[in-house]
Amino acid sequence: MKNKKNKELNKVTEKTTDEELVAKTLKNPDAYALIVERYEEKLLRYIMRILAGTKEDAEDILQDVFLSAYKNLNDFDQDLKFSSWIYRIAHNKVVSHFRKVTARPKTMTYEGDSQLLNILASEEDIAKSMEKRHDAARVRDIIDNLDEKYREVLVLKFLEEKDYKEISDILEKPMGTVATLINRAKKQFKEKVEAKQKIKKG
Amino acid sequence: MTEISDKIIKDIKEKNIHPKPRWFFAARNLTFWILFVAAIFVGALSFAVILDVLTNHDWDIYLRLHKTFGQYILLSLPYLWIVCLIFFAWIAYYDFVHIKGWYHHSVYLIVSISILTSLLLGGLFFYSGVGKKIDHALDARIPFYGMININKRKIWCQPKEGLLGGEIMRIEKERPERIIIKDCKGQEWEIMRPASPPIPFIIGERIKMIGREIEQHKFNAEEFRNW
Repeated sequence: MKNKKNKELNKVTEKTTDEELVAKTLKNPDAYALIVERYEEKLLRYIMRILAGTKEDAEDILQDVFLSAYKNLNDFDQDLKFSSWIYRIAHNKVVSHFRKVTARPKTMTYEGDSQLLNILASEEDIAKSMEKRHDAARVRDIIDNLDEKYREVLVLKFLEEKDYKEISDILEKPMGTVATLINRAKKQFKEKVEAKQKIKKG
Repeated sequence: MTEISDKIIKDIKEKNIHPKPRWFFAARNLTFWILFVAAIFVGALSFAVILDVLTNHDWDIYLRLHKTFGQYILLSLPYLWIVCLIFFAWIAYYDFVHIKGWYHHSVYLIVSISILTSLLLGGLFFYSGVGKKIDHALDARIPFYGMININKRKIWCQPKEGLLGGEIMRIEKERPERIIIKDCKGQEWEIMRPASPPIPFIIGERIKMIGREIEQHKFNAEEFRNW
């Protein structure tokens, strides 16, 4: 019986969908390792981008996310993408973490964050008024100073490259609200960048 | 296996963790739906009582109380029921945002629709007399209900201002021109009444009277109203 189950797991390829893996996990818990492997890097990066805490905090939250997702596998709504569902759990865990800690230390710099400025610069045509090449630490600093609701939506849209429907499912907000939040977030981001430019020039 | 996946699988096996059953989530979702509908329903009952209290209020006596109409409105509002209506609107909102997939709908629209439903349903309950029945039933059975709705009792416990209310204790056959009532402070009053009162007197029922205090614990009633 166990051999049969393990043979089933060996058939899993990159083309196996998340939903198929969920179905396999409900029959054989070992299959969950494949889901964890698929998502651990993406989720750790996401948590680190939005978390106010240390890397150890992020890893603790990540484990909590996977255990919570496993316990709630039967609540996974097939109308959603599995990735949206597990990102939502991560989002909720980070929100709970925010509630526990009152102080907000600097968030961690993650390689690739510098692209946010360039993406927004090309979108907003703010490239004229600032240098295009910023390092990840400076972008991170700007992101840290955004309102919380704007920070997460920007991370999801431009760094995690989620579409409006996915962001709506992750944050549990209507799509119209997500669009409004993104516009406001871009505006606030632009203002912060320009303010930094002024300080640098002045 | 990576380090994390290895640890997770080990945790799952060592702690014997299992996914919660599908029925658990279905039952939870159904519970929130039921509570959402129940909150709208109780909100409707609250609104029915508010309408009943406001429509049966004695809006014409504010001058006797030496108050402006605005002050009298503030004194007369059924705050307990208004708080109930707001509380159950909040409960409906809370339940709604715990229903699966709620965020596909505008929360403002849903809250507006649920409040509107409570108001319309409350209007129907009011016209069918449910609001009055609730108010009377609570007033008769729950001791502290009357204390919360203290304004009405206070207003009708001012014999010097010509306002007296209370429970009918006795109607004496030998002296049909008088009845005995017990006021809000528990004191008995002898009420001199007109020969043909506009409302029937039933022992145990409460009535309100406008008139004047003739002497201590003796009141000449010129007008009778149902409580």
